[in-house]
Amino acid sequence: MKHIILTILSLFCATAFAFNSFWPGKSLNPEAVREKWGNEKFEAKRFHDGGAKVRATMTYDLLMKQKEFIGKTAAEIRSLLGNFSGFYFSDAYPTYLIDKGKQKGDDVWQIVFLIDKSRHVTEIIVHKNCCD
Amino acid sequence: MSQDPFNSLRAYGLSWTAISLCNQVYGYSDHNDESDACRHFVWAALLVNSLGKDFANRILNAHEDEPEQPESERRMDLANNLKGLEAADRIIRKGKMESSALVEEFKRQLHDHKLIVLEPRIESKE
Repeated sequence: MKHIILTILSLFCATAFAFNSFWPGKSLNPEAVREKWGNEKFEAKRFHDGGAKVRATMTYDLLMKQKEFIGKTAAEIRSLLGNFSGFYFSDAYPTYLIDKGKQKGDDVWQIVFLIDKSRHVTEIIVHKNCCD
Repeated sequence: MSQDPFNSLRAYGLSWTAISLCNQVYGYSDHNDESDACRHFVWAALLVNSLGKDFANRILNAHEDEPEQPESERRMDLANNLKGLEAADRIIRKGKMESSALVEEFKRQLHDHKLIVLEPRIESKE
């Protein structure tokens, strides 16, 4: 019986892993993103050269344009938008901090480019880096 | 790792623990900074403690098998993993591994410049 339960649990978790659906933390929908950080036009160069605050203001528009990024590799995202900051699941995921809070313990938010096994972008989310 | 899904799951759970412990120190998880070094150091040590050094090595090496990762970042991660593996050996030899002792060991090694940090965190940069 123990064996069966462990097998079922392992299969469930392997599936959850495969679809990145098991990583902790909240995410924000686009409307909440717009309300929190505004809706400036996304420009790749400004995003690349900017800090978290600049990137935050363009996040809503980036989410609206996410179809342009689906299928790109993590390396292409790095080249287009700059070195990663933040962290999600593993170092392979392109992530960019957009709000570090004002002091320790404040909510910290990041943009995450979810990728598939072949490291191509499947979706862009705004994810809570810390802390619940 | 696919041959051992149950231990892989445990390893995955330990990565959460490592992140949580490091977030208590640094507030959030970043890339190439001290929090990154902390994640690798602490996760490596927790893996040794719970799953043994052989499995820990396999998991950590698989985790770094990322062709698109810049070489400097890979070197940082592998070096900090190694320090975590070595620290686990020492802590385990002394007795039970406590999270607080592990984090203190990380802080000590960071202070003594034994860990690699490519981009030290500058809190006032934003």
